[in-house]
Amino acid sequence: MESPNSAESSLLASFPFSSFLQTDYIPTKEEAGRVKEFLQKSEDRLRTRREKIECLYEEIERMEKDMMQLQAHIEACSSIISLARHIPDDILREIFCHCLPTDGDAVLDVNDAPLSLTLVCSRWRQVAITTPSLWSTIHIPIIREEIDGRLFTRTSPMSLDQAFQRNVGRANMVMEWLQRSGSTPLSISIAMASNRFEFRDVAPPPEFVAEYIKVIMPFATRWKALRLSGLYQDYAELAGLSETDVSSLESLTLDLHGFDDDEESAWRSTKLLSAPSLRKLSIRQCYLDLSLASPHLKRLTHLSLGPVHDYTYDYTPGLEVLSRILRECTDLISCRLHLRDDSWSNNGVLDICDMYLPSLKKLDLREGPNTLPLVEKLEVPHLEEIVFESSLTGAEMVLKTLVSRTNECLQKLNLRVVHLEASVFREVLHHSPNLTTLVLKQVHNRPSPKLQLDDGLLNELASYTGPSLRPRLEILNCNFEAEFTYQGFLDFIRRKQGVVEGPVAKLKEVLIHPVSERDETSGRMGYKLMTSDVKRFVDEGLSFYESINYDHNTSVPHVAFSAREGWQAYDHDD
Amino acid sequence: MVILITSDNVKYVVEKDVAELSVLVKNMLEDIGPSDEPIPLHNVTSTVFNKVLEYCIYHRNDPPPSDDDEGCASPLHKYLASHICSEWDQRFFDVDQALLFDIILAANYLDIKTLLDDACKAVAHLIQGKSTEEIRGIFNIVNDFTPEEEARVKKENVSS
Repeated sequence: MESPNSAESSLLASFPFSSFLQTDYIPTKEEAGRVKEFLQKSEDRLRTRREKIECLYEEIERMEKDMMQLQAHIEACSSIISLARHIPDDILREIFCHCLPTDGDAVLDVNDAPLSLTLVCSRWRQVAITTPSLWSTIHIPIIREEIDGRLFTRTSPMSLDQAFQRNVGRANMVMEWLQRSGSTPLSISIAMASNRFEFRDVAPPPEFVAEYIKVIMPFATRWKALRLSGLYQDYAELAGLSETDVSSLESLTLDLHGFDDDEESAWRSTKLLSAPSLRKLSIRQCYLDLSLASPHLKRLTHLSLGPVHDYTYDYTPGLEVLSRILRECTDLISCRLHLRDDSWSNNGVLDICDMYLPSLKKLDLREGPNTLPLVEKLEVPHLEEIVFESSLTGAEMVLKTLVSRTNECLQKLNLRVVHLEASVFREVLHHSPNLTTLVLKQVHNRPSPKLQLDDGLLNELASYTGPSLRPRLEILNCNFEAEFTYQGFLDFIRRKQGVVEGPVAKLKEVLIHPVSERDETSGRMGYKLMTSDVKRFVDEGLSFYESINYDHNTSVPHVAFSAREGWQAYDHDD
Repeated sequence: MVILITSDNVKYVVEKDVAELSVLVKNMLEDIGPSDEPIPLHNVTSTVFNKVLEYCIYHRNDPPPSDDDEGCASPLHKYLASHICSEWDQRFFDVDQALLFDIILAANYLDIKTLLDDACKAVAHLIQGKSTEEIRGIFNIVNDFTPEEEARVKKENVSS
């Protein structure tokens, strides 16, 4: 085929005045006429080609149309033998149920299950609508569409009235959704998009919330799990329900604030806390008088007081009250206390009672000042997991005391501390001979602790010739840059995974911050990823992640590198 | 050892504990008592049974599924666990759609709950995050709503 350049040369060669092209030569009248004549011929050829191309385009278009018709024909005919048609309804139901989110309630969105499943075809719609369990969970976000159309709607900003009408429409959908749930127990969460620090300015008006309350109230006897977020006062009607109204309620989460201390407030004497089946209770801003539920506290297996998802502090009862509450909760399996900085003062003698929690397996404590007196009165002989967070200077005493209370049952230790002496850290490890999981995290926006997690300590952790410090360690997570070297950590993994049998367990999961080392060529410091060096162990089953901690820059998402999955977002705060 | 014969007359000699992962086979073995008589599997072809057997052999020693949702595994671990089984299972179910549906039907017929459950998860994984149009495309499903029905369905969901 002729190249474009050679085609151009041959065209130029046929031009009788080509030798004058790069000159200032002015052609005579006769010569100009010959040039025009020559150009006319070229233009004719150009037109012919254009017409030919047009024809080809038309032909392509015809073929494409034909192809699409054939494709549609094939799809239409082959749908008769579609495998999905042969799946019995009960299996289709099973598949549908697996489409629901595993980490929360299903959302009211046509792009997600279960709503999306009802839009595929009439059979799927019929099967989905007649599967009550598909409609047994719902997450209801209440938003103010009129505030910012660009954020919340696909259309232009709307008036408050329009937003309210849409809200009513959504509430009706919730009603229809819940009616499809048959007689199954329900899990409902209501959340408000808000900035909690300016909550009253952006919170949805009470009448928005009231629409949903009106819808969910008739189903109260089937509530199994209820999560409310927003303002206490917006849910006052729910607070007035009796124990029998919520007889199936097993889990209650009150992610509420703006507690109204008014004596008339329904929350002051709410019977929700006394629901006969209640086992799991989580309260963010705990002004509620838990002593009202005193006889029922014994049944609680899970208790969480304080904020769950952010770094703020909310009101929690003082140590004395807290100890009296915990004393009653003798069946607790898991307890989370996120105590605010000024929940109580350090002045005077505290009357803290003994707390015997024989079933407690997990304690998650974010300490406020002077938590020690509470911890000293705790008896938790079967505690297997501690999650401890503190930015206070006296943290080590609390931690040491807590660990000493565990009767050496401790298997999982998750620390997020600013101040912790390396010697105390070692002491804690020594008092936890059955430790299988060690998680070390950095407090948000604070410096990482200096724990001297160095090659020497790793060596002790992996030792199998002498006494190993924590022989059963299987999961190690250190999300900040520790003191060990690249080679030291690699040796640690090699030694742990090299064990054939004996008291030293192999590692199952490792997450570390990459070690920074100086590059020999450039002389610059940089992170050195270990992934290729541990590939052999990953192939043998080790889950290995390297996570770069961007705590200094919160706008950057946390990511982890896995030898199997590559880079992925990772919420290490969860 | 148990002898199983698939619908296309292929004979398999399978260890009893593996075969008994199928409740159907287990019940049949209990019914016929000690015997060398082969057990016919009318609704399963050898192609599909090969996969079923592969799954049963791999999972023969699995503990029964636990309902404990309060486990203390790391968030990352939980995230990965919730996204379809183990890496082996992910590879196992990475098959063409026809075979995947055949595995489901076989698991249902043989009454192997974990296999049925995992295969359903694999199909659900194909559905999750897909638009209605995409779902129809994946499973070759025709939109059989009449224009009136479609309008009604859309109206129902207009506020979501």
